[in-house]
Amino acid sequence: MDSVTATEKDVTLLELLDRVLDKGVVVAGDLVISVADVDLIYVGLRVLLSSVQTMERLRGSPLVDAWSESTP
Amino acid sequence: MDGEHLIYLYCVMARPPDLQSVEGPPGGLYLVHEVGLWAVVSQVEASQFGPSSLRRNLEDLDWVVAETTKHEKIVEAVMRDRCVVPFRFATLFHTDESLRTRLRTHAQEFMTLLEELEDKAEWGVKVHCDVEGLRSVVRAQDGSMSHLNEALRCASPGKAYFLEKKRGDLAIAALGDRIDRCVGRVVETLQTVSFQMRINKVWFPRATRIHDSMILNAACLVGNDNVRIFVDAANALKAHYADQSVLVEYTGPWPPYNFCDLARQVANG
Repeated sequence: MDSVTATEKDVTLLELLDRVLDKGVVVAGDLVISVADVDLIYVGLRVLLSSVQTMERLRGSPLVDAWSESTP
Repeated sequence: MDGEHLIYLYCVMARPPDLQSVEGPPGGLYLVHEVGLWAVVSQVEASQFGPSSLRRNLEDLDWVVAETTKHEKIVEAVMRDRCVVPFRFATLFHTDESLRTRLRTHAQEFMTLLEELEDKAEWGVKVHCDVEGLRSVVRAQDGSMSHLNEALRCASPGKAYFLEKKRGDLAIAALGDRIDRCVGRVVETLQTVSFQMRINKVWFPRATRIHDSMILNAACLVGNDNVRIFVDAANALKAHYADQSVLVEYTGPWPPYNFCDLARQVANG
């Protein structure tokens, strides 16, 4: 598992970005920002934000697959 | 594009705010007034915010952090004594006149929305679960699992394979159920103490802490008179789940970004 841990400051920043940026922000290793018509811009932040699952999809495959992979 | 300016919109309200007390960008903040609406704006350099420049700047995390922080501070300062419709980062117009036109077009919707938002603020609630921890909790509490474990101990190799698979499937289903119930309870509880609620996309697993998955990312519109009740409810949920590897976190008050779809419509034409 990746050893990326966000600090308290990052979390606050991410809370802000989650709201202030118009669309979801995606990350897998690098931060990908999508703002208005600007799509998929990489930013060198080794943290987060998402885009895929909504509550309705919680039982759907992506998350559960991710968990089952780590099932001992 | 050197020397050209764009109009950057922060928020819209129904009464003029006092901008003296709001720290603005170098060029200063000013108001655009149209049909009973006031918009807080500033001029920004097209060399910074024009489409190609913005694209480039968004690759620079320091720039993004500095600019979004400025944006938020301005909206929050105006929001202190005015009900506002906050706009998201980098909502830009070519001229004051093009903004006026949008305000005119959507005037009635702005008025209705501002009435709805009066004396309310947004609160964010995020629920995380420590997947491994929750798996242990579920395993310890689920009777059918222990029954299977028992059967596995004395099963033949062939049968053990299927039992093993069944146990794995059950574990995943039980985990999913547990998460659904938890999310359901949090949502139901918060709905009773909020005017409106939005469920947003969850952040990518591992975003914030190792082994953590976000299972709920909600925004609640809460009356300023109701904050105590809301916070008490959130704290009660937090305490309830504390020993179940589920972490309930709340933040606020925020400008009601999640309750202003109108802002998106206006920004998009």
